[in-house]
Amino acid sequence: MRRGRAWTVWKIAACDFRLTMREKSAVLWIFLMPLAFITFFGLSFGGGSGRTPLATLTVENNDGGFLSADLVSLLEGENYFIQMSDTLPDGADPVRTLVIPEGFTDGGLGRGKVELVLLRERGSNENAGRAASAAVFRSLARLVSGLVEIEDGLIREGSESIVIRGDTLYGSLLIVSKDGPGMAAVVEQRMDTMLVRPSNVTVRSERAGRGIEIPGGFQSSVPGNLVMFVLMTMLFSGAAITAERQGGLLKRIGMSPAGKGDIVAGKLLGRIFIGVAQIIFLLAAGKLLFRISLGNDIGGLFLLMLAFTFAMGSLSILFGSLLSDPDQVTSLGVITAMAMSALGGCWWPLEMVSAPLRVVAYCLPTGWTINGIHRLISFGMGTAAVLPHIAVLTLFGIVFLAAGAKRLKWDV
Amino acid sequence: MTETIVVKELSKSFGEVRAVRGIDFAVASGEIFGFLGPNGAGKTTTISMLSGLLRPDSGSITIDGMDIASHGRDVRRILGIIPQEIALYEELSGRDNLLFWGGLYGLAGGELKDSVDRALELVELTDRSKDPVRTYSGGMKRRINLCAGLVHDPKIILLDEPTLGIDPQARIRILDVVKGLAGRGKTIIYTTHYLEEAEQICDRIAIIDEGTIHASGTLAELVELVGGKIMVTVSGGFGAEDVRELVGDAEIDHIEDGELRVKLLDRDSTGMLLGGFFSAGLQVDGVAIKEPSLESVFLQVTGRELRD
Repeated sequence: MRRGRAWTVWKIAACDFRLTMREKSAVLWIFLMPLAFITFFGLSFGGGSGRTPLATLTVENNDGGFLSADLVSLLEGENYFIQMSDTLPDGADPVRTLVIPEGFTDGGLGRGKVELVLLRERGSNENAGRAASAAVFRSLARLVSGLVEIEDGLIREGSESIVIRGDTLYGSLLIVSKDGPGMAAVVEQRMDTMLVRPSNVTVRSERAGRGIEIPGGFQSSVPGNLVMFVLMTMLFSGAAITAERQGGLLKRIGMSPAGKGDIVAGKLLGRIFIGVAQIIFLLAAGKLLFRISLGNDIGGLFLLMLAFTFAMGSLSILFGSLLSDPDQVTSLGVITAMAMSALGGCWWPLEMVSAPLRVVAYCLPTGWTINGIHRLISFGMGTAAVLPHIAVLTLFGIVFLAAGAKRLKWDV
Repeated sequence: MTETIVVKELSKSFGEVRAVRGIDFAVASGEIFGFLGPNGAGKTTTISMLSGLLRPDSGSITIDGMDIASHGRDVRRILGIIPQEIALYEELSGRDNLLFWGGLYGLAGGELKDSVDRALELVELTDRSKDPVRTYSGGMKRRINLCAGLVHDPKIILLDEPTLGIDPQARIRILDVVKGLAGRGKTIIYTTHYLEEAEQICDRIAIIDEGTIHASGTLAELVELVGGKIMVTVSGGFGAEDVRELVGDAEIDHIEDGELRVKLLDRDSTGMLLGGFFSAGLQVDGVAIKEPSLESVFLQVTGRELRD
């Protein structure tokens, strides 16, 4: 019993997939180069995953005590990249600097009034400045609450030597009245224990509605490079079709029982296999290697990327049909991939570009795909939110495929 | 004998170029039918139409009782096509290529594997079957190319110049395979521009040039067309009018100042003709004699030599 058309389509697809995976340069571009690009751009845009440091805060620590060291470590926990002023290169001009005065620890332990100063460069981002102030206050609050707890414990243990006094944020926090420096060591030890202890109460802040959060680091570079490299893989694969036309292979396949429709379907399916392998690999790398969030709907993300692969695989068939030299296909592929990646938001967030360029982005499959990924990953939306995107990408694919099938010639 | 392939009034043009001009022919079951003609004669275009790859502008093709226009897929299932180009995946092994081409014809599993093994044995390439095709010699590539068209055991085989550009030894091997296939009852169309190949393996031959079949038949029938006479070409320093009287009743094929081509009954007649030249004091620089052959038939029916 001889097999039918579906078998023929499968054989063509499997052959194309196998040929691609046997080619070392193809494997380099499909799997390894994307990792290199993700790493480079991820680090360039701040590195890290979802909790990328919000900003840099320079700390000028004039105090040598344990409380100032604890404050710095609490600020790091606030997701700030802390840079100590004494490590700054000559001539560096920090945007915002927290000055911890000499005697901060002593003051905190009740031996005097201390004052923290947050310096901000004129013209620097107001919102970032306010966020830095809030972070400093939150860290101080934790420090103070720790001291209160220690003081309370010491009283219950029979000591009457520590009392709270004054403004917890601006002044002396507690007084070591009788036991002198020996008590400071006790406080330091207990404070260390307390700061590593998980808080009983945490406050999680979430946006009501659609916030505008610009992803950075790997959270931005993984999706951008995923889309760009799937696009490149698909477009470059058009060169193989032209090569088959040149070498008489496509003509020979056309002389077999496979009809033109079977051949186009097989070629497209082979490209989708390659694209799916690349998508799975890069999403897994994003999750496991770069520790990014893939949102709450991995199925929706996969469907969206599948629709994008269909659209671009169809475009590659059109390229392979129109041009008569594989080098021409590769050249056109490079130009198209670069233009579509840049305009579609693969290289930088679309929120950063002007309104007219955002309109251009939505004329391109890349723009729809990046926006869809943004919805799924950054906003945590589900498949329903990207159904229009999937529909538009499918439409792109149908148009490209119809044109490619119509123009497909057996030879060059 | 049953006619497996029947072609009527077949025409195909590419823009202004009329590649095939209303040709008719029929091929009987189990026959090797040769298409002899120079490059650009219309052989490959005819094969492409027979395989359903090109749609004819007019005319009809019936293969094994099926009209190719309405039963293209069914017809292609029983055809084995060996194209002029070596159309193989160079990075795949010979075996993997055959598994692919066999798969396109619906073969699968054990049936596919057995067919590939048989095809490899036929062309004596079993021992190199796991090597990538790119490592094969030209002759081996030609043999695997042949094999790829036979793996599904087709009833009808179309071979388009299968010995193009290979050494004599490899050519002999391929011709032996073709003769073996005919011996197993396959119907074969064989295109070539090598006269000796056509003479050696074809049961019947069609002489095609500029898209037209000028003559067809067995070798003996074609030779009969030139009357079984020898063709003598004399060149030298003489005028056309000087030699007309010398020729007598012999049939002049071509005459101009410095060249005479004439059909004579035998070699004795040639001696008499040359004696006349010498008696008349005409300068003779060269004499070429062609016995009745396919080459002289080609010259006769097309007005030019095959190598022109």
